[in-house]
Amino acid sequence: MSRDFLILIFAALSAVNLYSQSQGPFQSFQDRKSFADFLFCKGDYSRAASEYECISGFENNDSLFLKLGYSYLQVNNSKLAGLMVNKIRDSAQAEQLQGSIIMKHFTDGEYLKVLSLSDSLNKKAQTGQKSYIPISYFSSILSGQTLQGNFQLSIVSSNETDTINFLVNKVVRPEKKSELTAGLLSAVIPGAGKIYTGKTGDGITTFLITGLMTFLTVDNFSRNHSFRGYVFGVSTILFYGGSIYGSAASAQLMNEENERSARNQLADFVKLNEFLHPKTFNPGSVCK
Amino acid sequence: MKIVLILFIGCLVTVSGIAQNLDSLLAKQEEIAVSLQDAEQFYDAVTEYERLLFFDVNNKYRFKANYRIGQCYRAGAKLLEASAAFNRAVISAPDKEAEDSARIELIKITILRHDFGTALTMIQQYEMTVKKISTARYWRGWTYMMMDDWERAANCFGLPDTTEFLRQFCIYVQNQKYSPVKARVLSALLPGMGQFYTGNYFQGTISMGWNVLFGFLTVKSFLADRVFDGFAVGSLLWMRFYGGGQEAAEHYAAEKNTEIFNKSLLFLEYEYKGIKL
Repeated sequence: MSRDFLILIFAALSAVNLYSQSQGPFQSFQDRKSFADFLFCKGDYSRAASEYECISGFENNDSLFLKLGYSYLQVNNSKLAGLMVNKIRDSAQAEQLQGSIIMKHFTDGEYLKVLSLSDSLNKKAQTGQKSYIPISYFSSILSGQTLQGNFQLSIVSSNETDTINFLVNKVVRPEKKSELTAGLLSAVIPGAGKIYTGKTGDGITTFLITGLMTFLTVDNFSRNHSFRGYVFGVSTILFYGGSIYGSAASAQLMNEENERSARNQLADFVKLNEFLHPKTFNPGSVCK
Repeated sequence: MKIVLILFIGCLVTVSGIAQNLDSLLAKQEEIAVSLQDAEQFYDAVTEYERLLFFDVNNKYRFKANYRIGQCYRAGAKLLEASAAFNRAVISAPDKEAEDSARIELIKITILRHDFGTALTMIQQYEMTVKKISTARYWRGWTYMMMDDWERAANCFGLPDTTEFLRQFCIYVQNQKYSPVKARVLSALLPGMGQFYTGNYFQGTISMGWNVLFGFLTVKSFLADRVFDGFAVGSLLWMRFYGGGQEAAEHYAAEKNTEIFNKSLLFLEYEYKGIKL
């Protein structure tokens, strides 16, 4: 009886061995999952995604979809990552992946996408589960949308609130120089417009060159050197006109630069301060 | 007693069967990876080598798989990843010969990454530890060639046991090159001469023409006691063309040198039949 039992065990073992070999090496569900987890934790998200894809059809596992979605996100495929959010049944895990997608868009400067995702979340989320509101608020500012109300952050200290208000104010009401004023100033005193836009060196140089050219024009005409008078006269007009145009252009460039710098400062502040981020997925939590 | 013996033998057979099974699976996995690499499907090949490494609990394939991962990344121009893989291969090399070959691959990748300082240090370390002086000098020569320093490269290849053909080639390239300093000095001595030296005859003639014209006008103004005109033409026109001509000559020399360098690298890549990067 016992001999028959042993033979039966050996036969079963052999059958299992033969079956696993017929599937190709290391292709079982468990093998692929372990390998995918290894790749995921190593940060090789492209390959991890391929492996998870192969086994995702066999098991409806939230953790698997979460890791697959995060892998897609890391290889810049937020569309597929978004599909994974819909597959995850556990709302906390789905929210983490959605938060990661939102942060990815924010980091890439795709503020309109952040707003669109936040809107859809707004419809789904229950009261008290709106960790994406700050990021949505800053995205609306950075995308140039009209501000809708304000938000209160209880965890933010008064120091941080001051910084946020200062940075937001810089974006919403940037320091501007009037192009018309710059042009008019340079029309009255060549180079004054440049000094007005903060380019003092350029302004003084323009004033000296235009002044010298004017002197040479007058001097040559007064000494009956008409040809040279005309040459310097044309140069004076060119410098004078150029000074007016250059001052207006300088004001415009300065305004654009101020705007860009203020937006970058606010975006960098938000990226650096996690308390302003929605709940995101931390891959370290699943990797030992 | 009889049953215990059967059970013991049975266990031994099963364990050895499982062990053999793992070995054969790993061998099969290696085959798959190699066939993908041979088919130039480098991305998939790396995945399969990574799988091989993951399941190779006894580290039997650690060197071979890492070495081949390095080759795949290199073929896919992922030099940083290739460098990391060859580094792992060096660490896991089973013997001295394998370690040397991985180190040479690492040196080659470092040269390709244009990290010449590191490459030269690595070659020096290789020379000191491995004592294969001719190999070290050969790759030092290649480093200098990639650095566009053909004179030093020729000296490396000129040493005993290194390739005479490459030494001749380096000397030929060095002789072909133009000296930017010489071009500038020639243009300073006689405007346009630097351009003639670099083979830009038209630009040389134009430069010479402008200099003669504005030089003549400057001298004429001073001789006629028109000091302001003399200074204006001399500083704003003559000196501008005189200085500009020198800069242009230097620029043409550098441009020609870049052309020669690129042609030389193309020759080494496609025509040279010896061991290369």
